[in-house]
Amino acid sequence: MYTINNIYKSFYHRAILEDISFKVNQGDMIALLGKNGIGKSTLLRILGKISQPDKGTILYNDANIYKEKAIARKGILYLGHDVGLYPSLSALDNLKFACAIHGKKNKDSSIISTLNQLGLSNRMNDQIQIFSKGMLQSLKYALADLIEWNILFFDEPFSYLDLKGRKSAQDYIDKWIENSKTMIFATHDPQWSLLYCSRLLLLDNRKILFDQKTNDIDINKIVKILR
Amino acid sequence: MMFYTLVRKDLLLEFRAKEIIIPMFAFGLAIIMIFALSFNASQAINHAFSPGLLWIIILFISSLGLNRMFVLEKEFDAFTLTLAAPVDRGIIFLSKAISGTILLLIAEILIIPPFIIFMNLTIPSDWHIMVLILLIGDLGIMSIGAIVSGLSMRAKLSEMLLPILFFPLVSPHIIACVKSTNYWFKGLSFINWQSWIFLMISFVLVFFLLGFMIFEYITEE
Repeated sequence: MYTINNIYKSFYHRAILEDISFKVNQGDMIALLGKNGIGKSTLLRILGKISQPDKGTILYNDANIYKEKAIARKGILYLGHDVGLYPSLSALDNLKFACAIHGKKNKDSSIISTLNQLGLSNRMNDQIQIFSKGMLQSLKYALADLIEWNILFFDEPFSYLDLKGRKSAQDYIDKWIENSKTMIFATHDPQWSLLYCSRLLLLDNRKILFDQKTNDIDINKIVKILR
Repeated sequence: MMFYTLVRKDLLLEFRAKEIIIPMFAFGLAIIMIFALSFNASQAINHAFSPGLLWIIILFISSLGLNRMFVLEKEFDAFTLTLAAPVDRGIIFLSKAISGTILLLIAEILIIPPFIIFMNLTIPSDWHIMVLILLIGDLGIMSIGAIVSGLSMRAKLSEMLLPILFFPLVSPHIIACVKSTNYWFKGLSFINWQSWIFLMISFVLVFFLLGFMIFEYITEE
């Protein structure tokens, strides 16, 4: 469903990604691993069409996301490392807006119900600029729950979450796995990746060092590379 | 529908944050006071200079408003929410230009009465023509401004880049706005100065079309 062909990206003449190619199939849950600054977030931003690659193509259901009309990208959800929501708007307003631009009409009651599951319904009318980092991270799960997506790109899914927040986040991920959703997570947690993801993609030195199914991988090998 | 959603979001942001209109009004009022107190001129001189002064004020406050509009998009990397959604970037440009125009018009409604009072002006009775000039003028300013703000928002020193690119690009349009306002103020028949209005409309059309076509490329990293 997602085909990445020969992606190159550089910033200020410094190459970040070189000749990145891989295919994502329906139901794949991919962990994108690599050291800090290796280009994981950059790759996710390119996949989510936030950033333009210098070279290469990305096909989503056979449509080039950089050439086709925006509607061809319907079903792609990108959740970046930063909050990606408007600080001056309330949680409710942000989610209503996010749903609307993704073409999903949600009733206030369904948004409130999702916020309630994440323990945020009592703060739904507060401007999110006064939210803690963990609450902001939880809001991303609310967003992913409310929008209908076919493929999710999620940068660091457990950042800033406390134990309760992490449990709720994991519950959502389990639900998406159960529904055979397609997901790519950029993460620094090899243990979690091997436990939950079906595939592991390791970036090193601007390239994909390896791309394997997780049941074939020895964790010590990963840890050694990441150190 | 998507266009309406985006415009509504921009207006809601301002309604909640109050970070655009109030600074525009405060800045505009400060310039009016400086003009009014430093010139200390007769009513005839004020009449001769006021069209130019009015559009200088509008230009300054619009640059302030544009900067804030795009800073609100940069905070929390919120713009990625819109960019990653299946929305044509041309529609994002149109929504920015129109919501900017609405905010600028609101700021002008607040600024023009003190401008008239402090500059001791008498306004012609056909004021609805001036409303038309303001509307076309604001559409032109905001269409050019949205392109330049989109270009500069991802750049280092974007606050400096915006006026450096914006003022030279918008100056022909502003000259047409000043000329139109001047002729209206002098009470000349519209037929004598309609070419300036047509020039303004041309600017609006060209920059709306240009922005719609290139916003896709200028918003990507």
